[in-house]
Amino acid sequence: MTIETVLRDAVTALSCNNVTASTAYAAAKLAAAIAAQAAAAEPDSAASHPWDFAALELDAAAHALRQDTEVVVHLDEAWYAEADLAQVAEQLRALVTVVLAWCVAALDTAGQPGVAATDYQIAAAHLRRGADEIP
Amino acid sequence: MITVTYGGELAAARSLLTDSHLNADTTRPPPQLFGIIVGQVYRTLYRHTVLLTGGVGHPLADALADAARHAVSQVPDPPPAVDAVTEPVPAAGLLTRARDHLGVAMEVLASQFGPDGDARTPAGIALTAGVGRTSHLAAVGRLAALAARAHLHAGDGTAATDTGSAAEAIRRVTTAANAISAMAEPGDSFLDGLRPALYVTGAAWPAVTSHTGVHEALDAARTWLAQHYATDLTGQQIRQFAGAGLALVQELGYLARQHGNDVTAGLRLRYATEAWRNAYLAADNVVSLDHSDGAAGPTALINAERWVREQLRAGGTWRNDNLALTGQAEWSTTAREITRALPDLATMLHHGTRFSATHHDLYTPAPRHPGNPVIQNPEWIRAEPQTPAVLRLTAAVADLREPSVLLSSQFEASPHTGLHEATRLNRYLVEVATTPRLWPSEPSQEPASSISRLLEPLPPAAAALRERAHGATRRGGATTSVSIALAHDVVQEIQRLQATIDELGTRISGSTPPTRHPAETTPLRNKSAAPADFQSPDLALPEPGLA
Repeated sequence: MTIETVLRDAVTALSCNNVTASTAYAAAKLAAAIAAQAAAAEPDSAASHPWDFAALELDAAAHALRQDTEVVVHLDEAWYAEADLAQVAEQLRALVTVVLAWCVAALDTAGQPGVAATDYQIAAAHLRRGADEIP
Repeated sequence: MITVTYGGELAAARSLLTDSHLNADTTRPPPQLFGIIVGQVYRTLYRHTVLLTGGVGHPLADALADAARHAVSQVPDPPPAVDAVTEPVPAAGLLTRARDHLGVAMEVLASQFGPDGDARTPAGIALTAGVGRTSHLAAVGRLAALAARAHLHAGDGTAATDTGSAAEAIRRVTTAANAISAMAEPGDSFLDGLRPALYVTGAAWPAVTSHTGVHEALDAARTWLAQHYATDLTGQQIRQFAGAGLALVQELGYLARQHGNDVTAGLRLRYATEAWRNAYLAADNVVSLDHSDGAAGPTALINAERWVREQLRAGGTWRNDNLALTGQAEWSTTAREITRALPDLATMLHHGTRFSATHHDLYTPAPRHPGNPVIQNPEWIRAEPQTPAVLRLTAAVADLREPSVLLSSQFEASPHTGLHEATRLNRYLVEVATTPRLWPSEPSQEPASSISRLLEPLPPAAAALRERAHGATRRGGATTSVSIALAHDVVQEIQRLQATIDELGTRISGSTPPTRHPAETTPLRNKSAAPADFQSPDLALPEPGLA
């Protein structure tokens, strides 16, 4: 398994119109974890800051979307060894875009169990900033 | 904007006290009026001394209390209105203003402690532990000497030649003040820049909208951590602090690059970034049962970081225009404030994580179960301190301070004094107080019978210290105050006994007193409040030849 395949699978799963509050939260959490690990894997440390800021924004988005349960993301550092970070960035942006689209749609149909409308707004704002930060 | 600091207020008071002395010869205020004002100055200085010594009896405090009593003893009842008559009398007016500045300084100092006397800020923790106590007392001593001099010359003119109890009280203040102020040269103290402690509680901190707001939020975050690191820091809060710290370090990197990007700066920034990132990553998947977010301390730091980032970044890139617009000087100050705060935050985060880990307040995911290998919804189990995730987190936050200190030197800022200095001093005192080197290494060469009698009180005292220090469950505030007070007592007792034993040995055997190991010549010897001719009533010297 590589980090690219993890991302591709996630985007595929979310694109099948079966996004729920819990999967959106899990996807945001996954995106944040991938960005954080990418910052550590970035060979040019001076260029790591966009990954760090993206990770923080996406983590904040996940926090806003979190419901009663906390999910855990397991990423193996070895998955980044051969990873093309430009490719990772592109796929990560796609993942964040899907979650953001769901968030914006959910704002119109507020009333998802466990998540208040303000949480969607906060999450959407963080997701936008996170998407901006992804290198 | 003028910032009230402890050092600034003391400096103003010092200047006014000096001026009041210079103006004294030409304009003497009415003695009753002067008694009231100078009595208030003495009382304020007394409160300073008591706070700095932790309530332990001190000659300067005793002398100041005595002088305050005598200063007002001649005041009629009802007393004259101070404000109504100080205006035409420069000396009294200057002294009144000095008293006011001392009062403000006192409030700044007192704000570092809660109503129960426990430290509520990092500076309070350091003060409780006695960090820089000698130099702080010396500063108060210099002010007390100035007040006594003003009292002597600006009063009714009789105090200088008077042999009564009031003049004796002034002389006691002068003697004690000169003695204590001679123990440390005037110099920089961590208290100089001390600001009034902020009230940090509840579940929110206002949005930060300015550089001043950033500085206040940094103080608030440190104050909040000082109150929580040894009680209830949660896994989520550790992650919040680590994340905000990581972002601040990245922003400092950008600010540093605006001043030139030399190799050393690059290395230091990389070192600090990796340390804070490691802590942030390690804090993932370590949680506590208390899921409430938005506590004032982490929120303050997050809000400060958010504002800084909004000023420096937009759309995923750095904003050079804004930096030029808002002024380099303000950003330099803010960068220094951030680098001053980070080491202190790192230390408290480290201690807080260790506390939470050892008190089983952290939870980690149960071993993975079949299913999605990447995203799981696990059961959470209470973590032992040796749980790998907790060990990793503890090690990561332990590595935060050193790179943060290096970063502060890059910005020519000195880190705030706090828990780090307190724990170091605490450890040092405990080591000094319990080291076996303080006992004679070859008792057979000493006059055994007398010396063994003299040494009897030592082991129980040292044992009590060890027991209290080892048995204490709280670190920092309570533990520090307990062991520091005990260590002080034990070390002073040991030093007095050692001196007595040396003298006894000399008188009995006519030999040269043993040379002390350098470790025994501690600064505490100079801090001893005992007068030079101290002799414990329980340890009276035997007559020569009785051994």
